[in-house]
Amino acid sequence: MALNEHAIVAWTDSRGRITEVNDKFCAISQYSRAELLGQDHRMINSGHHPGDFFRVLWQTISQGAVWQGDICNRAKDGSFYWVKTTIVPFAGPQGRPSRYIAIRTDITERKRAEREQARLLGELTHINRELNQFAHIVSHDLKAPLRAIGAISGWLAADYADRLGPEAKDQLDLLLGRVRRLDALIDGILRYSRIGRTPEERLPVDMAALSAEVFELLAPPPGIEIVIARDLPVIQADRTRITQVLENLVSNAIKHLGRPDGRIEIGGRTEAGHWMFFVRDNGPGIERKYFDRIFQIFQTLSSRDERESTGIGLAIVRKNVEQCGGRVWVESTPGEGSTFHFMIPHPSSPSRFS
Amino acid sequence: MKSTTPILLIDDDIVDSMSVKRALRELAAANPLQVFHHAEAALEHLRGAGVAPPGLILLDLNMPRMNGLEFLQELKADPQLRHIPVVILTTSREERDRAESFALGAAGYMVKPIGHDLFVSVMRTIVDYWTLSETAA
Repeated sequence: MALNEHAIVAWTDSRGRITEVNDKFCAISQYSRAELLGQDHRMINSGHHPGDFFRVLWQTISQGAVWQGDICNRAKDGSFYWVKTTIVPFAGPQGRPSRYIAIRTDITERKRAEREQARLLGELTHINRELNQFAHIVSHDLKAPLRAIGAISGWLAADYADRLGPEAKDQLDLLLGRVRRLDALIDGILRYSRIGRTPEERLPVDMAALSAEVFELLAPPPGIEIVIARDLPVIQADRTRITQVLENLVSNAIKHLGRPDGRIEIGGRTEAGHWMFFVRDNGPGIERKYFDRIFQIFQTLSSRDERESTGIGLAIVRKNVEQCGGRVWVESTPGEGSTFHFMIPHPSSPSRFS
Repeated sequence: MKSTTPILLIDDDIVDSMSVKRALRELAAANPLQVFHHAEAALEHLRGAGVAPPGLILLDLNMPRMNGLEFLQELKADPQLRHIPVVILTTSREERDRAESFALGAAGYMVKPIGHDLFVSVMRTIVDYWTLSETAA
């Protein structure tokens, strides 16, 4: 019988005494058929379930209804195993159940995986909470002394203006500049660590309207040509995340254009299973060997003294895109410009990973 | 708030307190500034007999022992003190801190900027508004 090949099977009489078991039952419980016949299922009771559990089970089947559930049992050697169980009553001459068949499937491995998953999830929640706290502490405890350094160097410059030589004034200006830079770096860490802490909210986002808003907000200098493709799709995504992606890509393009007649273009289209977008500029471009490095946190290609930049923007872009289950990459030819592509999967797409 | 009404500052950071003092001086605000480095001490002062209530409280959030939010909660639960407007003056940009401050009845929320000029402009905004605004008492 196929059932015997597939499942753990036991028959009992009306009082729950085992009248028949198949080989699989013997194998998993480690009891021989002779040991099992005539006994009831208390023999393999693990003690895992509260008394109510079996009371409800008995009430259900003794009234002629089918019972289904997951049971933890104990084998002869004391080890536990889990079985997904269906018990079907068979009515006797008086209409009351005279026999029961219990059909079980071994789900020990699944239960173990579930427990492991719950443990990992708990650990992850804990680590996340610590990280949250860390960001909070950084914002308060690093910033207070920094603000004091900034304030006092400003006072020195103002109060002793008549007594400080030009060199000392320059040095105080440099000091204040460094304070602002460190402040921007701390803000960058905080912004980066905040991504993904708020639950994702998938809503329709009109990419054409959002692109226009981003350009309006960032206000590129006059003379820069702005192109927004007319057929940009409306996508299903977390608006905050997508806004951060576009804002950082566009502000990067503006910052690095380095020419008064620059051009910035946003394009995109719907493809099978995902949406593709790009932000293209005709700036100086990026050498191939830096294509990966630019997405790492705090990596800048020019010294911070040449160009005030924290190196956080593209790291924020990548983290946001990956939180959406997508990917971001760059194509560029030095001297011609750069194109940043990003892919956002459809909510239903199996290619979505997170 | 009249120009003679005191402003009360609760901030455990000495340099930040100096920044506030200095900014008020530069803005030529005549309001006397009372500074407390601990929230409990400020609360005790406010509950003291015959104390002229301040027209405005500037409150830091991150302080040892009683923090700013705990102070705010106590103040707003006190029928004698709840009418005093409280403006949060903090380093925290955390959404949670902002949301909780307003939920507890803060009248404003300012992030302490880096650099004295910006600090003065934040203080100007606060003082200008509360000098013009009518207060409850």
